[in-house]
Amino acid sequence: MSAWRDFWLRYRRKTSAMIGLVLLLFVMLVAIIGPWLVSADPWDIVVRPFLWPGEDPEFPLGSDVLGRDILSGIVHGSRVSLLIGLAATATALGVGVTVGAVAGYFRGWPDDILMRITELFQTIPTFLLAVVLVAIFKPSMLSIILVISAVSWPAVARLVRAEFLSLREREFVQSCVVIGMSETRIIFQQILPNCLAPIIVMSSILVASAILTESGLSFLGLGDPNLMSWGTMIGIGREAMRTAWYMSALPGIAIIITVLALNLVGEGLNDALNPRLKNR
Amino acid sequence: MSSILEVRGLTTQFSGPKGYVTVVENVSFAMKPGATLAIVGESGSGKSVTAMSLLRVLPEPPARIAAGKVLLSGKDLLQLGEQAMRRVRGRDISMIFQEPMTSLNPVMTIGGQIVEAIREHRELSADEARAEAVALLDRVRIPDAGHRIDDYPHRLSGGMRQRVMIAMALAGRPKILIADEPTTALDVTVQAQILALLARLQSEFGMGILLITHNLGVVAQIAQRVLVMYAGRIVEEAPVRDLFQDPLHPYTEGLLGATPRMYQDAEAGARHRLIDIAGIVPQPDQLPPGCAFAPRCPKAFARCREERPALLPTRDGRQSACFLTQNTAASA
Amino acid sequence: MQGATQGAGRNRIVRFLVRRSAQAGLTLLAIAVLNFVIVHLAPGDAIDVLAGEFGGADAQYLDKLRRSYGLDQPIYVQLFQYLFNVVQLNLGFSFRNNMPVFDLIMTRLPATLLLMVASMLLSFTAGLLLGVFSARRVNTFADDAVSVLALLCYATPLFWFGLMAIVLFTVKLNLLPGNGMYTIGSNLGWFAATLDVARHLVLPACSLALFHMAVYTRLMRASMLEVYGLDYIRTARAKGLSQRRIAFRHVLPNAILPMVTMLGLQVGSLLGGAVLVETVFGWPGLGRLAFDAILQRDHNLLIGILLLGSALVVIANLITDLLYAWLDPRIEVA
Repeated sequence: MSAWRDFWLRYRRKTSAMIGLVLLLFVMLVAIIGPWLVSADPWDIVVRPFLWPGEDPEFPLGSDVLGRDILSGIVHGSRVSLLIGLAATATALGVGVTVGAVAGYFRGWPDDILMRITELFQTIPTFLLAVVLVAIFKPSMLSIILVISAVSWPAVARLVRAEFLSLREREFVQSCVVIGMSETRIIFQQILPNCLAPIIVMSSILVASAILTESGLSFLGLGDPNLMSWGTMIGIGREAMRTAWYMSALPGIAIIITVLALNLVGEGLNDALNPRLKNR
Repeated sequence: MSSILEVRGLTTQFSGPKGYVTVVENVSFAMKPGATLAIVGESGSGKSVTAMSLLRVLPEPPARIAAGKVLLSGKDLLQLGEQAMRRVRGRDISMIFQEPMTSLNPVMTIGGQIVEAIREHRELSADEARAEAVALLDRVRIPDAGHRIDDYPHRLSGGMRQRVMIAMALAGRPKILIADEPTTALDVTVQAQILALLARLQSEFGMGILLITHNLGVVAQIAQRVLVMYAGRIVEEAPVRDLFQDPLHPYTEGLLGATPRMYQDAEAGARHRLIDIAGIVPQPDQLPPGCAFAPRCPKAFARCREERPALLPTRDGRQSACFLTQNTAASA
Repeated sequence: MQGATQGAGRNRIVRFLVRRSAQAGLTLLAIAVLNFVIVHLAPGDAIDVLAGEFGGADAQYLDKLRRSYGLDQPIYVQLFQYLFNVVQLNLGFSFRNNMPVFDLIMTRLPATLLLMVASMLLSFTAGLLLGVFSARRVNTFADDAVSVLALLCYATPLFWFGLMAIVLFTVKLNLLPGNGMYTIGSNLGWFAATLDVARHLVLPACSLALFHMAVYTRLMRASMLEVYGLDYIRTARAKGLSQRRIAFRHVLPNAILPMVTMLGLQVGSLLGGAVLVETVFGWPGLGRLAFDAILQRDHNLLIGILLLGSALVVIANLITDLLYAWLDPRIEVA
């Protein structure tokens, strides 16, 4: 319990980390309860098109080229972004941790093979690969989540592998080996909990970059056609950019706030979880 | 003989989470031209910080020199601006460090690093400076200096790198060389070579050496006077011969391993010249109220734990910060 | 003697290049296999995947594809056939563009290379300067301001930045062109034409550089601060060198090494960014070609771009390694 308190006290010390946390909680709140508060479905045409923000108090952020409520789009988009970001990160963590743990713990040929594969994935231009995969497998929420996790697991694998390589040489692991503890138990109960800190830090960065990737895909028209996402909105607004730039600007600001919040939280976590580096 | 360097009441602090912590407190000493003064103590005793305070090469912040004077030929270095201080570094006072493996810039040739030091302090053309660098490498006995000058540091052994460091330190013809644990990281045979080299260069260049070390063997070889530091303060000062024959402070006795009471077990009966005192140097922010050495001192009594003994003259121009020696001095 | 060592050095570099090129070739072959797997994992017949829905009806195109992939053959024969084609730089035919994929890519490559090199130089230089600036003023207001700027660049989608730049600099201020690579229909001399391209390059290059400028800034700042704490910087200070000389002669050349490593890693992500930026700015390069291929469901072309893009990354990594070895004397190319 006091470990949590210590952690919180260290985290709280940094203003930027607290700003990030507040922003993130706000975005999460919008994503969770927002869709019930805004009346309109984001795809419904509810008002005249090209309504500028502030013109009509009923639609504070205005309407798009067809007269759809931008506020509703942004609120629903937050749900899509966070959901895809979290699901893709969770999948990438699952794959990356497994691969990294196996490679780092067993070393030898499993390590060689798995690391060749990770290197391969790191050579292929990530976003381009994501574009090709989504285009071939048809855009849907599921395919986007799988594709984003497919391009982000190698970073996790490398991190976990490095941690495992150093941790497995420590005395506490060696003594587990000596007393004959099973390898699965050593990996999951002894080593993994000890490399949780860098994994947690990386997770918040992964969610942020997953959100950026998703927005890029949907901007190119490779988003789930049934979901209103921020990238889709920017893509729609682009058609009217010269006259009504707010249509693209507003969802972009939503992306910036969310990604910024995640990065700030990630930095804060890093500082709070690695106290020896805090003076950097 | 007048002093070339005189330090008075030097106090250096580091900022910590709970405000400033004093790491070096009220250190005073004087150096004669061409002589060798040693500062000994365990790691954490503040001897390296003292040395770096003189040249003001500690990172500020977190460090700050809170009080004192460092008088070089009567001029207070602590009052100089950064610009003027730069002309002191490398020209009046040079410094070499413990880790020759990491003290040289890995992406610059050794010649480049020496030439840089030469041209910083002397008006020489690039060619002249290079010739001078070769000459300096010769003087520190680096074989084939003309070719070696274009090598990068990673090509050299630890001993060779320390020679390069010394050559670089000599580039500005300094009056004082501060040698901070110059042989600690080196093999025993190489240690002896470096010490011999320092001793010879000292007589050739007529410079004073301030030797920082934890190794009394090194002190015995080249120093004339010794300061013993403990927990940021000087606890004893004496000529080297007197210190070895008749240490006054119990900490010095411990350093020398000379106190029979400390060696009651048989295997430690021999005269060690090792640090062999129970416990460790206290953290600077956790000093006991009385004498900082009292918790480890076999001779400590009640007063030692309540009151801090001052550094006072005893006899023969020696000083000690211990109630015991002061009492005997007073009664004698 | 001197000549002999130099000759030996050259031999070493040649051997290094040969070995690394062989590795690179293997990597590319593996990526080609991966491409093959992707195509065959996709739902439906591989021909549907490659032809997409758009051109699927054309019998001539399907025949061409069937022949080049040997789809009536067992799968391993297909794989070897595909790899054999790839080795011969035969990446298939783009029906939509009526051109072999490889030739098509080569016509678009120069525009993308120009954009990528420009934004690499921009992000590297700007990141270097900002990082040095920040590190020399660590924990001051200026340092904080740079950190905030970098964090914002980190979080900004580059296509959004591109759109906003067009709104501001093209639509509102009418300062810079926001579409294409040169003014269409103009007949300019070589100098004016170069200037014209340069003007068209400004906004896309800046948009593409934004993210990595932030990466380099943070990396350079951290790297400088780390080097500042090292022993040889204390040595430099003890020699009496000026702060400026220490920063630029001692800290910078060491701190720049991780930046160089990043250069190689940047290329892959730049190619991805190029898809977005070229789409926003109508820049006639590979990225724009990829976007068109998405719209036209020309998957064969998309996969060709992916393969060539990976080849670019492999080459960039090779160049980076050589550059690193040249900058860091501790790396003996062996």
